[in-house]
Amino acid sequence: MTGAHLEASGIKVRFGDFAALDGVDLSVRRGELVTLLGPSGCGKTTLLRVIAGFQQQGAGHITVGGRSLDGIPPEGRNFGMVFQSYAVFPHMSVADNVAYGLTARGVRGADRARRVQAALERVQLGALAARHPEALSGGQKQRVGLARAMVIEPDLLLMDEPLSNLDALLRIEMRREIRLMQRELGITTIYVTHDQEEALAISDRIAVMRQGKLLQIAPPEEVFEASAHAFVADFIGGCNWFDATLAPGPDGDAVALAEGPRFVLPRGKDRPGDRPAGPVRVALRNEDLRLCDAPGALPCLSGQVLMRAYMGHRTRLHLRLASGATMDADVPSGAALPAEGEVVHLEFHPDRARLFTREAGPVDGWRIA
Amino acid sequence: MSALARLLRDPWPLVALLVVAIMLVFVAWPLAELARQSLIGQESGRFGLENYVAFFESRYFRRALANSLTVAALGTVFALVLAVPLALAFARYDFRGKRWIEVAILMSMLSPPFVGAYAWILMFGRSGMVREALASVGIDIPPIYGAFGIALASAFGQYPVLFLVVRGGLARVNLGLEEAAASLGRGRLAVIRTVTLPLVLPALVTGTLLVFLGIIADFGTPSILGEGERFPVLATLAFSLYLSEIGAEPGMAATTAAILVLIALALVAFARWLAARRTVSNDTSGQRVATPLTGARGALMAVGTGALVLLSNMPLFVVVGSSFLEVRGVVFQPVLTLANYTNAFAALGDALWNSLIYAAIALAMILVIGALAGYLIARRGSLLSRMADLLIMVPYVVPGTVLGIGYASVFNQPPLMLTGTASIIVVMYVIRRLPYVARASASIVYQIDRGLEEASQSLGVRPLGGFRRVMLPLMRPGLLAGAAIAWVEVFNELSASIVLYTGGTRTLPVAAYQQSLAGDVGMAAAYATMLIAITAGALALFIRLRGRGGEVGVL
Repeated sequence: MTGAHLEASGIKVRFGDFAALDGVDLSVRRGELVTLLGPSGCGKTTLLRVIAGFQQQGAGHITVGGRSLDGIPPEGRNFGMVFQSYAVFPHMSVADNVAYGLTARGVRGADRARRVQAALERVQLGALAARHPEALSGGQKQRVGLARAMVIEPDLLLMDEPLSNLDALLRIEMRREIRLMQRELGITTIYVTHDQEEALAISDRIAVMRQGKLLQIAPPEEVFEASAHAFVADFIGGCNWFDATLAPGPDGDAVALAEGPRFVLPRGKDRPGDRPAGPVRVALRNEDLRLCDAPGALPCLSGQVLMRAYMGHRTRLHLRLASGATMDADVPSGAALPAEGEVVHLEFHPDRARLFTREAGPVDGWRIA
Repeated sequence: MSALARLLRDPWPLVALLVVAIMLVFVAWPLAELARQSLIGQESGRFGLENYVAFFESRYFRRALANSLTVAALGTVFALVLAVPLALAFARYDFRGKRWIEVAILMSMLSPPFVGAYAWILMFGRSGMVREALASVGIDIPPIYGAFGIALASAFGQYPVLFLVVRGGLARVNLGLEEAAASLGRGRLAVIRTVTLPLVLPALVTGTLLVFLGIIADFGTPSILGEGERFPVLATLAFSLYLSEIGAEPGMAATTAAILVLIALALVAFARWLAARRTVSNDTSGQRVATPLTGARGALMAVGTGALVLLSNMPLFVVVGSSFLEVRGVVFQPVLTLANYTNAFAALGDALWNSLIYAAIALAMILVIGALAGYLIARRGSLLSRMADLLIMVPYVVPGTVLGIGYASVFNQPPLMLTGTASIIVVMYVIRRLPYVARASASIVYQIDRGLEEASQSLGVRPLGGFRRVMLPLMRPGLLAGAAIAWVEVFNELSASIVLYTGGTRTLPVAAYQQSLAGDVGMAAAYATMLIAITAGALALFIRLRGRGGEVGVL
C-alpha cells in the first residue's frame, strides 16, 4: 500500500441548521477498504455522497490520485457506486445493466460483450446475463450492481449499505465475496454501514462517525480494543459503564468503582502515569467478566441474575447490581450456570477495564484516559 | 465550468424556466386580466367593486349563484350515495363479474357530461320516451328540467371519479388496523365507523371536492337541462354575459367568472384545512386483500352493484340506441335506420376532423410538457419548479368557461393574436389538461428509486442522458395512463371551446352540443355516439400501448 489515494480535508455540509458533516478529514490508501460506521444521521452516507459528487460540500476539498474533484460532476469522476436499493435498471436485462457504463465510455461490440461477460462471471451471474431484474433475488440484484460498478474499472468503489436489504446469512456470504474480490482487484473502496459486525469483518480500517464528526479511524482490532472514544467503545461491541474515581498513588493509579470494586493500574510503558485525579467512567465488555465462587484477589461485582439468555456457546446473564443498576455478562454456556434469581459474583482483570474521562465539547463526551 | 457548459450538462433549470414562462402567459395572464376586468365598473368604468355590488344586488345573478351551489351540493350528495357503497364493495370483496362492472363504471366517464344530460331529456324530457310511456298508462311525472335533473345527471357523470378516489383510499387502509379493531370486540359496522372511515377521510374529502368542482364548473349539463336562461347557473351566466348577441357585458362576465373561481379556491382551501386538521400518518403497511364472496352472497353483490352501475349507464345506452332510430318531428320511432348518421355526416363540416387534429396535437404537447414538468416537480426542489407546479395546477380548479373567456379577452390583439385560430383551442386543451399528466408523471417519478439516476450518473452518463435512457422508459406506463385520461377530457372538451370556436374551428363536442340544444334529436344522438365511440376506441388503444397489467389509473 502506497500513499493516500483519496484525501478529503475539512469537509463540511449543512442542511439548514443541521451540520451533517462538521469538518471531516479522511485519507484512504490505494487498495484499501475503509468503512464509514456510525448510527443513522451520523453523516456517513452524506460523506459518501460528497465523495461521489451527488452532494456539494459547503467547505473542504477532495483529491483522488492527486486530482482535485472540485467542479467535477459525478459522471466525470469514474467512481463505481453500489446502492442499498440495488438501483438495478428494471427495464434492462442483466447484461444491459452491466454494459451501461461501458457504452457511456464508448466501448462497443465484441469488446463490450467480453467485458460484460467477464464481470458477470466474477459475481457468478454468467448464466443469467439475459434475465430481467424482476426475475432476480435481492442478492442477485446486488451482484448485478456490483458487476456494473466494477466493470468500468473505477478509480474508487463507493458502497452505500450494500447489504442492508439482504437476510442475515446472505449478508455474511456476500460480504466475504465482496472482500475477496476487492482484495483480488486491489480496488480502493469506501463502504458505508451501520452494522459494526460487518465493519469489523470486512475493513482494513474503520472510520467511526457521530454527529457529523469522525471520532476514530483505525484497523478493526484497534477500534475494538483501544477505542479512542466512549461512544466508539459503546457502539462497537457494547459495554457496561461504571462511574468511578481515579487517584494517582505510589504504585500506580487507584480506581474505585462506585459499585464497590477497587483496583490499581500499575504504570507501564503502554500505561503512562499521571492521569489527572477525579471522576472517570470505566467500561467493561460483557465477555470481560468471569463467574467466581466468592470475591478474591481480582476486583469483583456482585448481582442478582434477572434473566438468562442462551446464545449458543455463551449465555448472557442480565444482572441487577446492589446499586440497582443493571449490566450484562457473557459467560460460557454449560451445566454450572446460575439460576435466575440467584446472586452471583463476577470478577474481571484490571487490564480489561477501559477508562474514559470527560472532555469538553458537545460531541466528544468521554475519551480514553 | 461555464454557465453554458453547466446548462448543457443539466438543462433542467432552463426547462423549469420555459414551463413557468408558458404558464405565466397562458394561465396567469388571462386570469389576471379577468380579475382586472371584474374590478372595472361595467357602468362607470371606474376601478372598484362596482361589478360585485351589481352582481349581489341583482336577483337574477343571486339566483344563478344559489342555483350553482344547490345543484353542486345536491349532485355531490347523489354521487356520494352512489359511489361510496360501490367503493366499499369493490375494495373489500371479490365477486363474479366484478371486472365487468368496473369497466361499466368507467364507461360513464367516456362521454362529455352534456351527453348524459341529453339522454335524460330523451327519457324524461317534455316528450321523453319513458315519460310518454308512463303517461300512456296514466302515470304523470314532471319533466326532468331544473335543479333536480341537473344534479342527477351531474351525479351520474361524476360519480366514477369519486368511486376511484375512495376505493384507492380504502385499498391503502392497513388491513391490520381493521383486524385489530375487530379483535378488540367491535362489530363490522362499528369497525367501519371508528376505524375505516376516519382513515379514508382524506380520500373522501378529495373525491367530494373533485365532484363538487366538476359540477359547479360544468357548462353543458346545466345549459341543456336548465333550458338556458330559465335555470341560470354561474357557468352558463358567464357565458351568456360574455357572448350575448344583445348587449354583451364583459365586465359582468368577468365578475361572474371571478366569483366562480373564488368559490373553487375557497373549497380547495377548505378541503386542505379539513385534511390538515384530520391528518393521520398514513400507515400503509398491510397489503389489502379482498374477501371473495361466493354463492348466493356473491351473486347478490354482483346483481346489486351491477344494477346500480347499469342504471348509471342508462344514458349511454339510450343515446347510442336512439341514434339508430328513425325520428319524426322530435319523437323517436321504433324503426331502425342509419338516416341520422347520413344527416349528421352531411352537416358535420370539419368538426370531426378538427376535433381529431386538435386533440392529437394537444395530447402530444401535454405528454411532452407533462413528462418534463412531472419530473421537475418530483425531483427538483428549486423555486422555479415549485412555481411551475403551482401554475400548472391552477387550471385544475378554473372552470373551462372562465378560462375560455379569459383567453378570448387576452389573445384578441397583438402580440398574441390567437382568437379564431386553431392554436387557441389547442393551447386551451393543453393548459386545461396538463395538470392530469403532470400529476401522473410526478407520482410515478416519486415511486422510482432516486438511486437509478445516480447509478446512471456514476456510470458516466449526464443527467439528461439518464433521464432519456432510465427515467423515460420507466415513466412510460404512468404517462400513458395520464394521457388516456387527458384524451377523454380533451376530445370531449366543451365548456371552453364553446367560447373560443369559430365557424372554421368548430369541434365535434360543440356540434353535438348545438344539436342537442336546438337541433335534430336524431342527429344529436348520432354526434354523441360518435364522441363516445371515438373516445372509447382511443382509450382501448392506450390500454393496448400500455401493455399488460393495464388498469388505467386515474388522477
